[in-house]
Amino acid sequence: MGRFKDIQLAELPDEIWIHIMLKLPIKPLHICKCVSKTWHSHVSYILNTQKGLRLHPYGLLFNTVRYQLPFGHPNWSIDEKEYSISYLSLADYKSTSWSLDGQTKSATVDMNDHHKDRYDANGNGLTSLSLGNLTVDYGNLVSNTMHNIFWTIHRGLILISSRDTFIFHVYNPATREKFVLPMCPSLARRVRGLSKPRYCTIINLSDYILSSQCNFRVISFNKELGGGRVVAEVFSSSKDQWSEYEFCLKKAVCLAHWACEQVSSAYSLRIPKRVLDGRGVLHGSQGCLYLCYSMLPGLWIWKHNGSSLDVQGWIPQLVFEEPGISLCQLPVAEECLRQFVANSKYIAPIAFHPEAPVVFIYVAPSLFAFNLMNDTVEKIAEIKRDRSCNWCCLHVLSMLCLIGLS
Amino acid sequence: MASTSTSTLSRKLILKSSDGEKFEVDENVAMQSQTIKHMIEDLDDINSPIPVSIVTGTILSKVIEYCKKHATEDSDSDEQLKQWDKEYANNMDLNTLYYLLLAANYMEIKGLLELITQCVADMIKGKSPEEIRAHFNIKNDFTPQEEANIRNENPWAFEN
Repeated sequence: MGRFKDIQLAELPDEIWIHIMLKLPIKPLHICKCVSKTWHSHVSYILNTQKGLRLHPYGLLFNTVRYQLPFGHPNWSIDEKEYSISYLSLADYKSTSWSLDGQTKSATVDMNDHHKDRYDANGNGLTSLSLGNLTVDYGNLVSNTMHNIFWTIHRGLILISSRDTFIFHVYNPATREKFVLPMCPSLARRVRGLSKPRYCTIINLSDYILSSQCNFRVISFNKELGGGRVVAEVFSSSKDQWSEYEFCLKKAVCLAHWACEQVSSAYSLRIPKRVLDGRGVLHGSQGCLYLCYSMLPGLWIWKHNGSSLDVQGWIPQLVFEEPGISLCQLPVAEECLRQFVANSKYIAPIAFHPEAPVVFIYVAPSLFAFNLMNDTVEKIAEIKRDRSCNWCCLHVLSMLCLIGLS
Repeated sequence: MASTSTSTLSRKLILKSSDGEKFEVDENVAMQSQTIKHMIEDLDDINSPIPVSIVTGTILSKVIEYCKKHATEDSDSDEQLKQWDKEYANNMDLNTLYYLLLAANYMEIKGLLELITQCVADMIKGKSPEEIRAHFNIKNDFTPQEEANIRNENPWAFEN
């Protein structure tokens, strides 16, 4: 009898089903795509047509800097350069770029043919794909990039800070909402010798894909120069305030009680000491923190699930040191890295997929996706030089999840 | 002007369901429905029953139960109201949810629509495509090949 009644719920009007699906996070939304043809069209509608956002929800956003002359040329000048922003969709590997002229709010630009090469264990390329045009509406974010630092992006929220004041802004490109965070306490106190935030990340805890009420945490680590101390700060959007923790560098960084009201887990973490002095990026993905750090020719990626208080809490995901010491069973990834190193290529981990254990690594001029779970490596794009300029380099790159809105 | 608004609050309206059942409710309860609000504005005789044409008496009584609870704002804290909402939605079977969704959509009661759509979304969460089909009794009209292709577009979504 119950089954007979169930028929009716499936027969709800399309608009109501779409209303329901708008409340789903991205993963169940993708699962809905293969329930039936009708559901597939609902999900496609949600992903493609929300308020002028015609980008696939998952992609990479990056700045490119193009110099007129190759680096090292006698007339090379740091001033003769052009900035542009590109967006690479991770669904179909379509990319879009637009130049920064201080006024651009939206633009349609086509990208040249890229190739999507999939490597198998023997290093053989398999498939290729050509690309078309996309329209991007990026609000005021585009015109502001010259004055802002892109930190990272998690589930649709972009963390930016001003180059001058280090005041954090959180931008939601889907709803065009911008949150200006209060000045973090360490800067407010103007601690002497405090450097700019070293590691910052944002964790978007909002449950709805189209939530208008953002619930997020911003985590920032600062090293106080000379004092041998580290300041860890966490901003909670629900409390609208910063919490601050200060630690002695010798003890490594420990961040206690990164409390999420609903997920009643207390995250605490120490950052491996060596990382504090080098270049690294902190990412939030699947409820864990990932720390990517590269120091030529090595590459280290650790994961922290918040379950341990000490330095052992960081679980090595991919550790590569010449001549190839790997702590994890990822032979394909390891072999790929070994080839890059052998060819004197610079390896830069630049982004982490927010909902999959995939790290994006830039090896000029290409972008690779390393899947840490099933050990596959995909080349997903090539940053192409065009005729007008001789040199181009990838400047900043972030993971982007553009999500729609109502 | 002030006197009119006071009298507005105490006015009673009669709602008539599709099967002819009549409900007398306070105006501020009924006004949570945008549709009824617009109907009242157009109506000359406030005392005649207002037809809610596609909603049956059983469902309309449930809708009114929700509106009454949400019309009296001060009596409960937000926490209590959320708890009440939760229990209200959890006590519905799929059949009732279906009609409540249609009613909330037709009557334009935003809060109720949000509550029930969230309740259905929660049913979808954490289920595999097969489980979703079984739960809502949806027919799979993909060929195995088509379904495999869609899964391959975002394989990470199907990993646990």
